[in-house]
Amino acid sequence: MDYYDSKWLDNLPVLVKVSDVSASCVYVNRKWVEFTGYSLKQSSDDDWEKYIHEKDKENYFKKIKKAHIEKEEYSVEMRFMKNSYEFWWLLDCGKPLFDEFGMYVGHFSVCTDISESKKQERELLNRENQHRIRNTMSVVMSMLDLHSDYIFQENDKGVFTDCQNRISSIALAHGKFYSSNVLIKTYISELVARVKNSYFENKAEVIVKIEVDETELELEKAMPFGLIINELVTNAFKHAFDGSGGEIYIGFYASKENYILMVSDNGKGVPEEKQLTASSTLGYTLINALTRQLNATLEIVSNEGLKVQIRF
Amino acid sequence: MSKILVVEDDAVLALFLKKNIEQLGHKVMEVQSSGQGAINAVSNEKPDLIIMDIKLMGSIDGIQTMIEIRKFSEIPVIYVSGHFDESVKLKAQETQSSTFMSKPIDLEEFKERINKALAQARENKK
Repeated sequence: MDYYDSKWLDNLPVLVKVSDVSASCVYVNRKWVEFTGYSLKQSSDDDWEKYIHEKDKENYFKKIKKAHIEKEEYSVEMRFMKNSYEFWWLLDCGKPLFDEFGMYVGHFSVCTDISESKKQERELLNRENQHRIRNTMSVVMSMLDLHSDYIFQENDKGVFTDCQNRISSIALAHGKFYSSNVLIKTYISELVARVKNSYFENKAEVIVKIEVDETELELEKAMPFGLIINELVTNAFKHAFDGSGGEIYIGFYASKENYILMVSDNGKGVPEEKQLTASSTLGYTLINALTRQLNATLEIVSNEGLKVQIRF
Repeated sequence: MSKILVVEDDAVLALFLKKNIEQLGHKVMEVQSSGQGAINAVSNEKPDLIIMDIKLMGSIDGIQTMIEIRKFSEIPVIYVSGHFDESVKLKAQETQSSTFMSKPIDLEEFKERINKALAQARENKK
């Protein structure tokens, strides 16, 4: 087995390891040590399996064991933890080794870093899933739109429009979802435009001002966040002004510590702010529940209009 | 009244598009769910505008369908899809269209795009 002691293996730009008949590691090349951070001794420890990701362990060792028993080639993917505690995807391809008498002496394996291609694979899958979700949301929204033709009571129509807008805010979050986050600036702008359009006929004189920091939120936060904005802006359009027009302000500020959402209007306000937080309306019940979901604080001030601040 | 061909393989979405196009005062000439069906429809009767989903039933997608239609017609097209990445947009632009609408469709925007595309088509005919 001299050939795996050769210096040329150390100069190869791939990770090489050699195992004996019992699948214990007996050699690793320099590239392996540089990449993983583990010496030969560490790589041949009995508890070597701790470096393999929990979800890949069973499959990995099953294949390795079978290959050593059957003296056959193997190829297996696994997440491997470097000594920096980061997991990297490796493709481990092994070939059985035989001495000059034809006796099986172990396996020679080459490991390739496939983390980048795994990342691309995940992104592709993610995009495909998002595409499917958006299509499904489109079908739901189309269904609601078709149903709306069969609602004849004005009050019922209003409830239905509110419901459409709530679902629309969720659908829009998916529409603005790229790689792993939602682009907040365009999300808020489009969300508010949609709400405005649905109440445009009644509130032609309402001016909307938006000031949003360019930032991103993960989808799990963007959805409740979008629903809160939807409720607050809808309330302002529906209740803040008595047909006399006014202004709605939406501000969103991102700092290292937290995010602050501010929605205010210069309308008639509400008699007692406490009534809103404990309100029995679906809108404020949702706002309270979603605020809790975000682990956020909610502050409502009714003074020359209504000002709501959410901090999370 | 303009004639519009809708190419969409989801039945509910197709109904939604049809309803809203008709509310704008236009006629939905036909609803097709496959690329080949769309090519046949345009060969038989020329619409003023095509609303084309990118992912379709059958062997050819919406962009490939438009490439075939472009061999014999210059009818304007609005593409709709759940996702437009840059490669899809570049490919679609080869069919002389830069009008894309992401699903879920914003109705106001949809109506605006239809009116704009039809106005442009009328202008080109002059």
